[in-house]
Amino acid sequence: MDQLAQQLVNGLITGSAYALMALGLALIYGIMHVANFALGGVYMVGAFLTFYFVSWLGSPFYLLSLPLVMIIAIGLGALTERFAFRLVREAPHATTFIVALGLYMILEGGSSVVFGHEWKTIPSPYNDLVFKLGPVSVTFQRLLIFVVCAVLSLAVYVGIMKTMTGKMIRAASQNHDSACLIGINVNRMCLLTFGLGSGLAAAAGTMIAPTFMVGPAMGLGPITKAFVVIVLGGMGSLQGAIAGGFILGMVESLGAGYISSMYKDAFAFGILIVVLIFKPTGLFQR
Amino acid sequence: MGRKYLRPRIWIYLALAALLFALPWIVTGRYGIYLATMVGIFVILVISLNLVFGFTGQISLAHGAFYGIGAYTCGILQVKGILPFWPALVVAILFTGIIGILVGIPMLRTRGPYFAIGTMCLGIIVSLVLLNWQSLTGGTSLGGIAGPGRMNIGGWEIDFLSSKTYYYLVLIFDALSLFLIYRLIHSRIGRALIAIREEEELAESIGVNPMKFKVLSFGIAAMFAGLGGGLYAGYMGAIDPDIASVGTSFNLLVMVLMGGAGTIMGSIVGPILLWMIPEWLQAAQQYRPLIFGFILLLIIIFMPRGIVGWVRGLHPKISDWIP
Amino acid sequence: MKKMGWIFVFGILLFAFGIVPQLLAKEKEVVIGVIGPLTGGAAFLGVDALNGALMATDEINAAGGITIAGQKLKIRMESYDDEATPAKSVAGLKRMKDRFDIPVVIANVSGSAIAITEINERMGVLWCGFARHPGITSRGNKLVLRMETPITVDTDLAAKGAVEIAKAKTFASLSDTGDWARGVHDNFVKAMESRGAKNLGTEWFDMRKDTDFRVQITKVKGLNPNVVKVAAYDEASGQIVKQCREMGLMVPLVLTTGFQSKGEEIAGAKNLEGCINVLMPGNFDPPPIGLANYKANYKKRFGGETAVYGELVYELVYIMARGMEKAGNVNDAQKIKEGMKAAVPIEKEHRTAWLKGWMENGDGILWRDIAIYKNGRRVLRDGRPASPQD
Repeated sequence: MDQLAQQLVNGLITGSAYALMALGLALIYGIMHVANFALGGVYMVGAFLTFYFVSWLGSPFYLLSLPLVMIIAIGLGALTERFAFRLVREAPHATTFIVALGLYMILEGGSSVVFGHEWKTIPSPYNDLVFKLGPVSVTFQRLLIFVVCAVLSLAVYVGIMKTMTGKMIRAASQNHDSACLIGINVNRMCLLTFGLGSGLAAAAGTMIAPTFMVGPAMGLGPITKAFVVIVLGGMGSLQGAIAGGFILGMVESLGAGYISSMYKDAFAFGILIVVLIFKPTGLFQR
Repeated sequence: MGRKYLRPRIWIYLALAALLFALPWIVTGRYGIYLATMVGIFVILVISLNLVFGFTGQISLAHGAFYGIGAYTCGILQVKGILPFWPALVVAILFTGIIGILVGIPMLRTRGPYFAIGTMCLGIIVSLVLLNWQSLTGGTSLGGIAGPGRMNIGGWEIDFLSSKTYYYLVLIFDALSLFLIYRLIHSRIGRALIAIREEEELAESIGVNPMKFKVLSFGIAAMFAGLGGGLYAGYMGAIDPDIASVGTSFNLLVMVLMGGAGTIMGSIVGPILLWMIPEWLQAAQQYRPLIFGFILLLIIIFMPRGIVGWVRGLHPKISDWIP
Repeated sequence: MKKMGWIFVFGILLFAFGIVPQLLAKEKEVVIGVIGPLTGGAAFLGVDALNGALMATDEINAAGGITIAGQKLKIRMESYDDEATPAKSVAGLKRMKDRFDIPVVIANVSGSAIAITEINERMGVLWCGFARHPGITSRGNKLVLRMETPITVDTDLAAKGAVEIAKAKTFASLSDTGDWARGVHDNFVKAMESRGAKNLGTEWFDMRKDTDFRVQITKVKGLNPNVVKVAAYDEASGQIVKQCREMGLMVPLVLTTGFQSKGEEIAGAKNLEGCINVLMPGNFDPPPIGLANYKANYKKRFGGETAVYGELVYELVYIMARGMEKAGNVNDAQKIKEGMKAAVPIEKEHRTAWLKGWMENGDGILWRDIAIYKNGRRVLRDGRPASPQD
């Protein structure tokens, strides 16, 4: 029975990791209608940057790398918008997806040239700090993932829904021409959206990387799961992304714990198919 | 209008066909013929994916999975000694088609990105099952697939182990597939599908059942993918679960879009590019994935309708010449 | 203007199929093909293996190359990046056979090796490599030489150690889902069960994606086994050992050849006390001279630490060179194979893997024994550190 508690907590934490990953993707898809596969590469770049920050500054400064990495990633995201996505803004979805795929390859290929092919580990000081709450034990690192995810989700939600900039972004996403007419700089809103989405993905990389190994190909799995999450939650919905992330984490954890750990991934992807059969537009459509 | 208009086009087709049949003598060496055969197999996959894309307007990321199912059905039947190559190939085609229909029924009720990601998940599950069900699939590798081997047809000895012979086999299947799909597009089924794609409600109002046709086209496309898989299994002699992975589906999608979605020439150019560019870039060593990413990006940004799409757009008359 | 499109397509087709003639300089050299993942997730294996081959090649050439019928020939390694995709591995093999008429191909990833060994006999190319898939040597292929023992040798030793030293009557496993670990796991289970031990269960993980295995460890602990088998690579195994002890799982752990110095460092000597593993030449005390030289030279040339992949391929290339000299032949794959069989064991200065010989089916015979951990180091079961024999 206490295994159930542990599995639930694991599910919650894994879920928060997925939600964090999916948040950036949901933002960009919700606002720009672009399935930005390149975020898998940004996630990986975030992890690598964290690795180098920690190697350079020392592991006690691990948390300091988070804002630094996010700033760099926001810049990177804006660059991808300006020089790639803007050029295909009016193109069909399939084309923009391939653009994102090409960017992902560039990021993965580039990082294997720059960082080498060896898988590295980030020595975060929080990885070995274990909390025991009754039958449940959880590392501080994983708690941090949960906390950071909660904070960022709230920040993004408030930012998009309540602030002026957020409203401008949403206006621009609904209709470029009308937004232009009322004085919104559509190009700047696009830059901002892509930048923010990328910043969130890189934040996921920074937080999650110490629990994984860091390598150029590390982003493929997480971005695939992130896509599943946003479809599960209903594409374009921020709340859906967060809820979807937690649901996915739970299903995966409980499935692995009680049915079969060999087919762990199959549960995650299987749940999506089940949901799509009954609700073809996801759980919480916009 | 009639014959005068058609004549030059037919000569071009004949020239192309002659080139393809004479290829093993132009390109000597196993390497060239191997690549040509691989491209040939992928042409079947790409043209059937184009069928789905063109007829349902949706991106299917399950095509790699169907390819894998076809390869493994054909392979397992041979390795377990149940059937020799040719009947195994037929079973593989039919079985994959059935799976395609079963998958299509729930999946085709979804649209756009939901459909894409849903089919992607199916693809992932298929490759997971292929990897983990070791007693059936041999786990990471299934070797010892006999393939068509040697055959004796009316006194003529055909050795399919020879690269040249297998190339012609694939070429014949390519021609067959192109012919069948062409007939399909121009048949009543094809016209119904185009009507559904263009204006679904209107089509419904004249008595066309959209789901039935969409699922049918999805199943037919899956059958072609199964054919490609079976041919691959017979050619390589050994297969692995990665061929059914999402990576293959992504590659197929890139081939479709790079070549030119919805065009027959595009279905040929796409596989050629995606097989040949990495080979040309071998010298670039560790920079290869980076350079390939740039090439992909440049092509898709400046030629969003693919290379063939771009060529066709150069001059109105060219569209008549290039299908 | 009408013709342009067709000329364009025609041009693509022509260029695509290599109608551009290849101008090859016929030099006095032997070209060997190395096919493996040089990019992508498995690059850590392919690049290290290639580096080992390059080091051996450079040393051999610097010492004058190989001498065949009085003539001195240089060796050249031609590499091909197959991204661990069997279809590309075969393309690489055909490409190199066409262009360079390679007599030997080195391919170390199992999927690629299986695909290559479907056709290498017909092409007259000898396959060598350390891929572990049993199918490579079990299909009657006459042109294979595996630079590794079959997995069963290692797992058998591990099971022997578990049953005889740790007196295990029951066992459980923590295994990665990758094909190497799966092979180790499945064969270990068979070996243990054949010795009368009971399998209580297995918990799986993906060592590429997890570094926290506490959930799986909790479940295994609940099964109450006498020993626990840990099937994973270096760092993951190290993490598991550490976390097992933290979670109160104190029974002896049975590790694998994948577990090396990095993992041992992570685990810590205290946590490893009494654990069982397979002893390899790398654990000799003092370290064998060939290995010590290799590690030092590797660091000088490539920077960074070596891994076992390069070590295996380094000795393989030396054996190949000596074998070609013994056979007096650099073109006939069968003769080269016979020469290589006669050339082992090679001189101590270049022994990094300690291959003793080959079995009839091509499986390698390497130096292996049971080891237990004492003070963080692997020693023989009687407590003595192992040392180079001959």
